[in-house]
Amino acid sequence: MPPPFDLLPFMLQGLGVTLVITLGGSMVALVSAILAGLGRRSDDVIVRWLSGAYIEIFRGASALVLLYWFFFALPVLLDIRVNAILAGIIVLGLNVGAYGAEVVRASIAAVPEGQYRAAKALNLTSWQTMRYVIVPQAVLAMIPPFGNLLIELLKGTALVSVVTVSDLTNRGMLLRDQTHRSLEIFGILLLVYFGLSLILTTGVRWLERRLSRGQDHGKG
Amino acid sequence: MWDWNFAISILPDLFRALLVTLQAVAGGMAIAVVLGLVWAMLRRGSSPTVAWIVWVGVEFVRSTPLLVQLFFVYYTIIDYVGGGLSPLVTGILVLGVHYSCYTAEVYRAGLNSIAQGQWNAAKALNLTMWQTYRHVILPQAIPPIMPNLGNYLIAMFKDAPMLSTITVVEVLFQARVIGNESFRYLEPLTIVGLMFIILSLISGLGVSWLKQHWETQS
Amino acid sequence: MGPPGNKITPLGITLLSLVLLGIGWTVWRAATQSNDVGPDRSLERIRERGTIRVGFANERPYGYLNTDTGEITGEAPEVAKYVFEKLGIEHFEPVVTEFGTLIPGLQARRFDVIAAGMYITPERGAEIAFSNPTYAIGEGFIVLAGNPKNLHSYETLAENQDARLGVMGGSVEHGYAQSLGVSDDRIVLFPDYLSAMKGLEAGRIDAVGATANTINDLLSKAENPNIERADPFENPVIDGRSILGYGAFGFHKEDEALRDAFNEVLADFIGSPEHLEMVERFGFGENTLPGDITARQLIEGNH
Repeated sequence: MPPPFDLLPFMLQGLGVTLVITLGGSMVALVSAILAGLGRRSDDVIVRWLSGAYIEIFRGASALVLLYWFFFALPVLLDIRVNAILAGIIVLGLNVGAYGAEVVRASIAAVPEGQYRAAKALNLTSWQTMRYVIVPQAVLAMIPPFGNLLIELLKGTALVSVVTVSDLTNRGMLLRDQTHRSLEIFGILLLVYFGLSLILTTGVRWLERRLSRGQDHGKG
Repeated sequence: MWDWNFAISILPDLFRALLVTLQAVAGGMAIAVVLGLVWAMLRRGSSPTVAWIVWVGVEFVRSTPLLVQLFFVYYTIIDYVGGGLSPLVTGILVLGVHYSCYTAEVYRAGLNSIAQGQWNAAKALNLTMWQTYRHVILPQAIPPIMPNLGNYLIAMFKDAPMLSTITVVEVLFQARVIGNESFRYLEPLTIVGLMFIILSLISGLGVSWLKQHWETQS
Repeated sequence: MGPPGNKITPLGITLLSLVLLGIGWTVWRAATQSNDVGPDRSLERIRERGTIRVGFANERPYGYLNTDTGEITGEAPEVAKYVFEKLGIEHFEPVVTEFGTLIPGLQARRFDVIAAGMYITPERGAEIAFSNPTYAIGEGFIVLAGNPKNLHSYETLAENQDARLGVMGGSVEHGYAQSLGVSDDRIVLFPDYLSAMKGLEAGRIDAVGATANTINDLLSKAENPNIERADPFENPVIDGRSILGYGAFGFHKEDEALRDAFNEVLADFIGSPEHLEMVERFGFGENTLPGDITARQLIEGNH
């Protein structure tokens, strides 16, 4: 293939790893965001405090520092072995999840007080109130910020390249070691990440339209 | 397992390196604060072509990893120019440009919140574009967005360890150097993690104080 | 909703006990791990898995990934492939990492063996289990053409207060420079040698310190008239002894059975015509054979 496309086959072998970490990480992030976000609003002091501690630790420590710690300090401490990709998924997922928790908390808090009173008037249990009244409205408000976090996660996956995981960026670095065509290599990498971001953004917009169907926007 | 004597002995080196981190963040933020405003003003400017180009550029930078941007700039300079900029200067520039694309959005929201009447009034007074921004728009638009700018300052601080990948001797790099020499990674990495958590907490409190301060004033 | 209450529910107590349990387990694991080593089953473990994960630093000619074939090659990986095949392990899983993170990566079990031509030193020997050496070579500098600062050893560089040295972080050269009195502000760390050579040309440093073989390889590939090897070059002398680097394979401290099996195959192989033919294309040969010296001798310092 003519330059710069001769670089592509080798580099794109890392695409799968990048996608797996993005998707796996978003699952971990979603679960931890919901649990910690609801936990922040819990009536139980301990639950509130634990959720807060998780959020502050995983949001406050820099993602790269977290990765180094989980890759090089924790295994020495515990003598455990975790697959490198899995460790990347968990660390990045928990990191983004801590930001997501704030989104969940804020979106639920943003549902107007009247909705709770209306649900009470209808004699709904607190579970029913959450399930049928509050969550459907809050979820819609969560989607755009979650979409932004998904892009942040995709960008964050590049960090695993410095801790031995063979993702897109790592493959790019290997190519640079051998060919020194930095402009082409990193230029292509930037374009690939940009393309992936566009795909994810489009997907999130579609989901938003899909979920807002049948919602009363207060115009009637 | 955890060696207190060793942990204490490496603290001075880590704190010295933390200063480099803070230096990079300060430099990066100075660039981001100025450039972000420039992007926001260009997007409101009279030329739709310029506005479109700025929009595409901002979106591109926001959608791609900071790490790859760092590699792109650092290695391209090394491979084609052969040195020139020190790693720290390269890092500050890339951090600044990257975050200017986030601060641009913050400024945009701030500028959009200014009522159209203010622009019209400035025009009626025959103020130039520069005078309008300087004396009418910015004094109103900037204070409410200070907390948001503060949030990006914290975010930039947390991204600064990435500069270690282009051999800037900031705090994470120093932790790794200590690890390479002593073969002990637990203490330096844990201390660096705690430094980040504590500093983020403190600066987070600072931002919420700013926010309250502004809200009670208005 | 009103402000959240201040109750303590079974859920909170359960969560708190789980967290405390986790912390307790961590402390217990950390406290007991060193005396809690079972029988060494490292060889069987790798044989059952059929795959060995090989850590290397992408440094020619010791160990690097050939991006055309996707294969890991170099002096160390080729020897390792031969030995592990003899031991009945056929699959190689390469893990690239920075040179400085090879030892922590091994200790964190990111890979099973370091195949990067790593020198045996007493400090490293305290952290990992070395195989016996597979080669022995000296050091060198790359300098600007004509060697304007007359740098012919680490000692001459240390004496010249204007001279700056570029090395890779975590490399032996970094240690040589420090122990021979080159101050830290005159040592510039680079992520890889090609960046260091660019730094040399740009005037950020005056010499690049590396092993003689790396230097041969770099110069033959660069074909650049502006830079050359410092000639003559005297090997660093530390504690009254001229330093010759002995490169070997690194294993986890608890994997001595694997290391011993590796050594056994190595003993018959190193110096054989098959071995010499294998490593010739990487610039190694009869003149780089390590002789009878063992890793233990190098680590204990009685050679």
